[in-house]
Amino acid sequence: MRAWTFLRGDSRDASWPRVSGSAPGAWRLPDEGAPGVTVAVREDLAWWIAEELWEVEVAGPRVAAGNAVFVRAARLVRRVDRWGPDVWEPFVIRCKHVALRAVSGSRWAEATTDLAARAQRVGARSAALAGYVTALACASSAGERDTDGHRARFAAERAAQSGWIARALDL
Amino acid sequence: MEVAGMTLSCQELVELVTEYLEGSMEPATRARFEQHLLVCDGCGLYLAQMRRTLRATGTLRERDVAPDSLDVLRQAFRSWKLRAARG
Repeated sequence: MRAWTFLRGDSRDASWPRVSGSAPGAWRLPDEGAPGVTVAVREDLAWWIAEELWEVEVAGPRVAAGNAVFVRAARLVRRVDRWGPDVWEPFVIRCKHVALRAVSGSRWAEATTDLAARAQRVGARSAALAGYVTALACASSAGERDTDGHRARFAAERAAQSGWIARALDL
Repeated sequence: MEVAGMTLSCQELVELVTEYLEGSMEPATRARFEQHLLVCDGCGLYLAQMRRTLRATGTLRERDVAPDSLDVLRQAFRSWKLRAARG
């Protein structure tokens, strides 16, 4: 199974042992009480966007649940260097177009336009927000929150975003 | 109830934080919890505060508290209990 993890580039990543030269990092085991180490597969990348993207090696049994895969152990193998501003920016622009199309003429239009404009100004965090807001904008066009249509549209847009990221990075 | 394909609201996250910290959360809910933290600074801060509070109170023993403060705390707990009993 090919898997990845997004790191935030700060102290919250401390539980992931870093790579040393070309050697993978040490194995990471689950946090206490967690069902496993959380990793992302290609189809779910957009749900986990953060500053750094790393390919990981996984080991042991795995449980797939809620757009995540939990594995017994995982270790960082290599950083996906292309995940950076050159991909974040077109991703945010793509999201902005999708979001505005989805909410055109609705009560969400103004708020979405404002969020989309703000999201374009900074980095990975904005890409994460743009992805989330866009999925929400699409879902709002498909029905009220907690309805099947809303959930399905949200998930479909997240899947489309994940596909976009995977294609942009040749994953 | 598990809702596939959506993230949690802030209110839901607050309600679930104990379950998360105790490690008793369903995997799918845990994934949604962690996804929410990626896009919500406020909830990230809240979780960090809860962790700090647990660390601090987890090492606090009764004899570490000054007698005056202990009396104030006991009185406060008694008042809460009384108010709760009265409805």
